[in-house]
Amino acid sequence: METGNNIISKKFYRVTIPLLNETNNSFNVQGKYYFPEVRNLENKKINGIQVHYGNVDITLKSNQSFQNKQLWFINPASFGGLNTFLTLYDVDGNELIGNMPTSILHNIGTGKIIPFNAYLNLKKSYILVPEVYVSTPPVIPALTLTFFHD
Amino acid sequence: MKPILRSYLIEVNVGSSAPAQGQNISFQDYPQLRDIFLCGIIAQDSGQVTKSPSGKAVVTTLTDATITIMDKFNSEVIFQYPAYDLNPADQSGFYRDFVPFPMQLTKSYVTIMNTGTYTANQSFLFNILYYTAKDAAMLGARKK
Repeated sequence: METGNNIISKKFYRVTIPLLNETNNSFNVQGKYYFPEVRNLENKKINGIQVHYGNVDITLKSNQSFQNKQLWFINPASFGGLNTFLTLYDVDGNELIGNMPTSILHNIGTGKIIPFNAYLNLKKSYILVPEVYVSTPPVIPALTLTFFHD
Repeated sequence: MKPILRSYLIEVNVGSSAPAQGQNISFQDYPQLRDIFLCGIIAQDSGQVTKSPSGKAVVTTLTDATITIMDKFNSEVIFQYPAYDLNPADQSGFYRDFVPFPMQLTKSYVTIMNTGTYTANQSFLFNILYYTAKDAAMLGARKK
């Protein structure tokens, strides 16, 4: 079957990053948030990354919580939510992606997933929230992304 | 669309006063983007991102701006290309990829096409998609 330049991924894995940490537990979410350790994505070639936004393509599920607090999957900035920027490092410590707006990785209305080709070091990679943004307790803002890999 | 090897966000701020029609605004120097091969550009406006990483307001539209990209031989490889055409949100999710060429960022610039569209201190955001000479050598080695 003709597939054009489409890339076929065998597996998908979703990672959620709570935008809150011990140093800013006043619920001002401005800052840098490193990815958790994700063993399922170690030594995997990442073919694509997709960001999901709250109330656009994903809603809160009752079984998704962090420290017994509810997660709020953030809205995109254009819907009054948060501006978030993604920085990714590869396994050799090189910066592959520097401050890419996550909105580029959101495929609302287009169906396109931006293709990548990299082995990532997620522990060194992070999300940047540049603005002061005060969340309403006890709901914790979170960003969730799906990684497509071999 | 080709897979992204490397990407770096650059910000072009219009300055402390509103830019006028025909004004060129040069790109700043980013050490990460010296000696690189440009292979694609993604632009976004406030419909996707409202603030830049440095906290500046992002331009509300791309329709009144073009970009010119120089190569390291001072040739205008991309001349006055409409910035609007670089936003995947306006192009069915596609980004524009180019035949790679050695980019010279500091001689590249944005041209304002209409007075009054952009206000003081707004920023354009461009994701430069690129690879380095070292990447090219590694990719060549993989093909052999």
